[in-house]
Amino acid sequence: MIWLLLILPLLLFLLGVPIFALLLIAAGLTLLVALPMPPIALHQVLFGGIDKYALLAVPFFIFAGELMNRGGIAQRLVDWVLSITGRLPGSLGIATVGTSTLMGAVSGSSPATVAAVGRSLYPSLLERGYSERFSLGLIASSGSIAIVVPPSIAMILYGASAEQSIPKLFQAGLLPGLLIALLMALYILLWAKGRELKESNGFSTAVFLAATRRAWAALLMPVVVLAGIYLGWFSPTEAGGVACLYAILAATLLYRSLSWRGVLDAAGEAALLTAQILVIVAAAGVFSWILTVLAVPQNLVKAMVAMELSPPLFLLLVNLLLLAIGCLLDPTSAILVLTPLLLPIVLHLGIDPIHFGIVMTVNLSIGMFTPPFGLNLFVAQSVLSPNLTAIYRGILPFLAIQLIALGAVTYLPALSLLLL
Amino acid sequence: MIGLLERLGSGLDRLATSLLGLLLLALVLLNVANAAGRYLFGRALPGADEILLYGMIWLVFLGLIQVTAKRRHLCLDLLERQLPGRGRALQRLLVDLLIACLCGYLASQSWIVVQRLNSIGQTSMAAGLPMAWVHGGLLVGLAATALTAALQSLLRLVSLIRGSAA
Repeated sequence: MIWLLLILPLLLFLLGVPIFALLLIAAGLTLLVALPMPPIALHQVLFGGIDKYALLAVPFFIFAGELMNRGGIAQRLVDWVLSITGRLPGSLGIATVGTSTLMGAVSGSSPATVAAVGRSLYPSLLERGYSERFSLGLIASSGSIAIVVPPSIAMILYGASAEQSIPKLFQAGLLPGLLIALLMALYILLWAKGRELKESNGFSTAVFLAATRRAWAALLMPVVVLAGIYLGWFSPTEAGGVACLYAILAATLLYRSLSWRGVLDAAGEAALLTAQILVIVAAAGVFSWILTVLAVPQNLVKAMVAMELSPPLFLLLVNLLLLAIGCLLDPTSAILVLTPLLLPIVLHLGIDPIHFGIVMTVNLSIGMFTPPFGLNLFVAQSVLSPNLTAIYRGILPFLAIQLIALGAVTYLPALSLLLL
Repeated sequence: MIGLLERLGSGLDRLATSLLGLLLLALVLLNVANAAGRYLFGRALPGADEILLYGMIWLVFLGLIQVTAKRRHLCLDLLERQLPGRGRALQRLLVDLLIACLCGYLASQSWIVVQRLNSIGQTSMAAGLPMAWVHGGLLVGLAATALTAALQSLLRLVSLIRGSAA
């Protein structure tokens, strides 16, 4: 059985077979070979895997992110953050982190944040004396904050998979996201001291007011989305729809930066990205169903109980496992494949499942920019610079900082649970 | 002939992406109208949640055809990037064949389910939608994905035989 459920998928993964296909091939062959069930169960479970109302938020937030990028909303956020960082040492670097955090508070997509923030700020970073290596590492790593700051697609998928409240996960992700941003900003501040960097002209009220006037609708967008969820005006799914409508109206009628054809193109692209992700959700549903039928999670729990692991040691081992997996697998697939396996152990050890969801999200967000296969690295390579070696070396200090943040999030549950 | 096929493919690609975009836009509008109805007028649109959910399922499986056609599936592309031209074409051929066989088999199972649902005339609880149509999203998406992948395999095989790596 281990051949069908572990070795075969791993082999297919290394051969470059799409993740949805390798999950379905492994699950399908196991069903045909080892289980006394009719194969039409594959259809039923595949359908059931995405027949979940919470998942509707995924296409909506992806669409909102596309509209922000194409409609110039992201650029206005960049300009606004630049207007407040002033003459602080490393102000442009800090603005890069700030803009990535703000982008994450609307779109929740890490690669989209790297592309949008990178296109806007990379030339300015080089122009002002930041090295190519530092700038690439900064942009690729700060994009990962978008996954942790609510609303987060990774948290929606964890919530749907672990049957946990998505608004609670969003709330729990706020402080860890801000902590990562703060630590990165502090590092940039220290790094920039004593270096010859051309910073902006210092804070100017007139420039700030002009940038705020240009960006007020963009700045209001995360407020409307998050306040709407927490004040109970709408569910996370409805908030996704509201974010799309807001971005459409802002980009077409207010900023006039997007034509109706442009809106349709953004919708088409968002639909493809949705299919890319949710077909893996459906396939992972079949795979985890097979695991459950074969009692794999239950046996894992038994094995863990026999090892008498304490919760802190378990969390350490899980962090190492997730960091290793995050280097190879995107967060979507990792969350969907691992949650059903790890959650029973988490509950058995008395770890809060919301806290664990945040640990998992922060962990896999780091995987977005860790070599060799972090997706942000390739987005930075295709959008900013073909020099992959410079990107790999550039992320190292930011990787160390985010690992410190991960340690804090893992062993200080209050960071995640304080706002609940 | 190949030029004509390429132009036809590109036109179909634009049309299909626009249709998927229109479906997503319709879902967004229905979602917002439903929320507005519930909070402003105290009444949600009847069956809207079901239509939204089943619309998303259709969107995903129709999108699967396009994702396959554009080779945009999430996967580890390390091997593909390391291989020389002919080896890469062979790797892609094998992946396309696997997708064609997998989706073809799954479509055959979906066909059985859709036929059964159709014969018993089951409908959804709130919107009264025929469940055969709802589940038909998987049948249509998987069958068309299998065909797309099979066609891609065929074209790749032809180009491999002719000696030009794709």
